[in-house]
Amino acid sequence: MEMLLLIVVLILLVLVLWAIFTINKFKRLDIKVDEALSGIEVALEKRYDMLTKLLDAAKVYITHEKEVFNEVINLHKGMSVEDLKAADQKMNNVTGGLLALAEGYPELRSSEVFVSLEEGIKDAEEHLQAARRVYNANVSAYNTALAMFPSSLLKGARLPRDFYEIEDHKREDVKISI
Amino acid sequence: MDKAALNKIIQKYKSLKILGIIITLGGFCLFMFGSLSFSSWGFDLNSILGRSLIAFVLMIFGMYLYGRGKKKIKSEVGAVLAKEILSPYFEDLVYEHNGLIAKEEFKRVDLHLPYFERIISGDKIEGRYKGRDIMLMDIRLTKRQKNGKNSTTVTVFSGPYIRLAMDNKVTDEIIVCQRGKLFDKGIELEDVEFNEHFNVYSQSEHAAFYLLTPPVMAKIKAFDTAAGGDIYLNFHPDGYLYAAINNGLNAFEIQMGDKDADGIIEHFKEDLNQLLMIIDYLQEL
Repeated sequence: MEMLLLIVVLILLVLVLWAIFTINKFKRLDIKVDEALSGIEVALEKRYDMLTKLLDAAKVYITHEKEVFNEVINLHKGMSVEDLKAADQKMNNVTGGLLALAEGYPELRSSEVFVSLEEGIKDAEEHLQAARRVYNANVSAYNTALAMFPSSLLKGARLPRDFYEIEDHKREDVKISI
Repeated sequence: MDKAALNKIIQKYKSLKILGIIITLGGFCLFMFGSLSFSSWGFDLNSILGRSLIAFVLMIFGMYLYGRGKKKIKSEVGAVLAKEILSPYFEDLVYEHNGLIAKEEFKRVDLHLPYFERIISGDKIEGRYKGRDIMLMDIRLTKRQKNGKNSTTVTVFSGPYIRLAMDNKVTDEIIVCQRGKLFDKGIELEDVEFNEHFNVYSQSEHAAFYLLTPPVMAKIKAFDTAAGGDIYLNFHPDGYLYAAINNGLNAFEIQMGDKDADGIIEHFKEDLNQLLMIIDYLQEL
């Protein structure tokens, strides 16, 4: 009888330890996903700063256009994945549009400031791409952990996180005026 | 130095090596089969002790002559030819056939190499290759391994060690090495095949993903296939890429089959081609 009790206690202990480990694992992976998301925020902010500087530099050369740059991009802390994707998409469109517009202004394209800012934007985009990949890798690890049996038994109300994917077909040519 | 002069040196020291082998064998035969009597000289060499003593001295002397011959060929011929072969490819070339690397300096850059106790290095090449600073050398890493009461020295790594200047600086150290222990995964990237072959370590996950883009991962996989052994890479914030390839290559060593200067040149060129192939792969990363 005592032996049986000991076995039951041991099994319960193992189950409790496994549950603690699994729940902590979910928590750890969840935190990593949030960290990765804030990494995207940082990369987007950096890209936004570079883009603003590029637009300012462009204004000096593109004087004939009277309309102001009217694409509004909102960036703030704690944005959702969808908001970040929307901001990312807008920045893609603005950058593409501005570079296309700059083709008609050779002086602007050859100016040192423009060239260096263009390089800066390229670098910021590479960092953003890395941040996206870090986020997606962490989401993949988190979602896999949630889906795997038997740890899936303990997922409770946790839901799989969304991947950060830029949909190419949504990219449109945006008419920019400065 | 012309080939005729080099061949003369090779012949001279080859003769020394052969003499060394003959004397060593003579000493061995004396020890095993000798029954000489030099009693007229006042020695009783029929005794085992007397014979052993003379045989031992002969063997030591023979081995010394052999070693000296080998060393001289390497320093007076090998070094000259290696330098001549390398100079068209490397600017500001400095070649040291006995080039050393301090253990502390070597350990400063972590490559996740197998555990070792001793480092043996040679054939240090420094200069510029295709516009980039480079240093490469052959290294052999050894450790003592216990077999019951005895212990033997085993080689855990043998191949080229390379330090190559990078175009882009990394903010954090990124180590890519052959996949080792099952539970020691490091950073998991999105390429499943890459993850199966390599472990990636870095303090910054972002830095690892920034550097190891899908095209770079594809290049590392191609390099791994071509290198002929386990590869270890460290993209260091000091602006250099450190690489070690455990492919057993010991470049610019004169072999028994190298009869003359032409043979040595041919053989050295093969070594150089292998090294340049490795460096070209690293330049692409």
